[in-house]
Amino acid sequence: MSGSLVLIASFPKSGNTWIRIFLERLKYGPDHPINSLDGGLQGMLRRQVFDTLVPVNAADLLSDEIEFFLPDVYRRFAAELEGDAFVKVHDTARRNRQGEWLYPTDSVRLVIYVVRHPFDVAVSMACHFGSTSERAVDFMGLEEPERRVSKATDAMPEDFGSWSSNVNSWLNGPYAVTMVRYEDLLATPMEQFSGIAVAAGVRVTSDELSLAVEATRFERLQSEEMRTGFVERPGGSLRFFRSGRAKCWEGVLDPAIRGRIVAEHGAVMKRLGYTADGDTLPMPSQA
Amino acid sequence: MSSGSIQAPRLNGSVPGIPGAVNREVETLPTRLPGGSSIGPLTEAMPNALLFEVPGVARYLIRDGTSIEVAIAPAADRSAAQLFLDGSARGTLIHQRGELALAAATVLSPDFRCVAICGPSAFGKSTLAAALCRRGWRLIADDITRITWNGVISIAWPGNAAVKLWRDACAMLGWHDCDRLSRVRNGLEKFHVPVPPAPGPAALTAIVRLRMDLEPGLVALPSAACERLLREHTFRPGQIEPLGRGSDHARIVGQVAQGCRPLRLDGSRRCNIHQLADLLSEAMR
Repeated sequence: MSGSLVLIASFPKSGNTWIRIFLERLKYGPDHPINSLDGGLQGMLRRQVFDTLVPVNAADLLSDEIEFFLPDVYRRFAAELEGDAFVKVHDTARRNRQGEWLYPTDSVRLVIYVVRHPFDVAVSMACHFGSTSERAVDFMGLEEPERRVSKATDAMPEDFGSWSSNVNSWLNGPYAVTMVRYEDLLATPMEQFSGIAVAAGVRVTSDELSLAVEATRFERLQSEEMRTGFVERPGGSLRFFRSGRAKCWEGVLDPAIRGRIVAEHGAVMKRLGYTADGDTLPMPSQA
Repeated sequence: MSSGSIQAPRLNGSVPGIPGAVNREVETLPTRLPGGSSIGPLTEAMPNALLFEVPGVARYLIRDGTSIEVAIAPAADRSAAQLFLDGSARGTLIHQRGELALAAATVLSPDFRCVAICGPSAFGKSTLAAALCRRGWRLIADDITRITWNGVISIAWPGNAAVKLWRDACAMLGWHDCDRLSRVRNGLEKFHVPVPPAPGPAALTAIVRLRMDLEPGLVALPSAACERLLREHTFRPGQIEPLGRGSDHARIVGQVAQGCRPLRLDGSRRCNIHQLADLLSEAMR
């Protein structure tokens, strides 16, 4: 057996879970419940895999020690796969102190990188963590947030970097990257999701694709969450699938906060076709 | 070393809860295990021997179910070296003896019911054990419990007399002055919390698996579930075959399962630790 990893990477609150649900509904059918996701080798599952393969528990290691072991953990995990595994990632693409990429380039076949206008990321993040927009923007600007396992309920340390450094790390990294914008997924879902399926190497008929896209519409996910709850919803948030629309910042983010985001992240926004007035332009060709 | 410096105690001595087994600190250990095969990152194994390393901390060679040699890295944090000696190295030693190394926090009730609390990392095993110890229970072992079979009953053996808790778990249980406790290692907000130890080995009564996501409640599982629970919560099961202990492990799991009640304690994320302790205390009366 030997498979590979397909990373679904993004800064938090950019549509990562949405993509993951789409891919799993392609794989398992349109009725696959949101509470039965494979896990994307994220959170607790990642820690359990680590603890199975490494001779000592992640909870007893320092961050640098965990990062020392991670490339080998991912390599061994991939080697046991029969095909691809989708892995949810909010980390920046980076090397450990020994100079190895945390996600080894010989085990990662593809990165699907999802971006969203940072104005909307700020609003979504504030709701998700039950904080203010100012705090969310602080978080989006942190280059080295605390990433040590600090309590038993934490899964594994992750370093998101700032919004800009997260984007740049993946787009400038050593991987084959398919980038998708949240706004394009909303505007032309069939085209975008179809592109993701092709890039991910999932072979499906157009009917299966249509069913999976329909089953991944935001309203359907919201209604499913209302009925069954969603295990990935954090305690401080009322809903996980909250808005599902572009420009949700309107009427929420005041001009000073928008100005701060543009001042801190303007260069990367321009790279992705995100304007300072909150719009999304066609994707620049040199992104 | 200058004559005025204080030399740290060497990690020599008996292995807690394993009569006849010894730890020995050595200057160096080989980087490879001759004749061994790689079974994980920095881990090599062969029948009756396993070598593993935590870079910058220590290298450990566990042999024949009787000895653990540890070579501490220069300038390493000795508390970290001790942590892995008492944890993973001891777990491997138990495998080599053909006994059961259960990834469990095990506690003894005031009525002498011995309960092994299992679940993945971060599910609250140690926190629940500590909460029970605050209401009259006693600690058999945190982290890894050694279980043997004497031909009639299975026996859980005491390990160290402390549970390892994160600062927030300490606060949840009313220990707000963590800084007076010893850290499990430098750089981690995790502390050795002393609790009343069990007076000695105890007959294992039940194995309880923690679940986070369901409504709080204690569920009795069919007896056939016991073997599965024991297998699932064995410490590093991937070591067992390379150590040549596959048949021993199958045998002891079957033996221990005979006299052990399998339970499931739900809701470790949905209710507080005291409610979980209430549920388990009530069931064990």
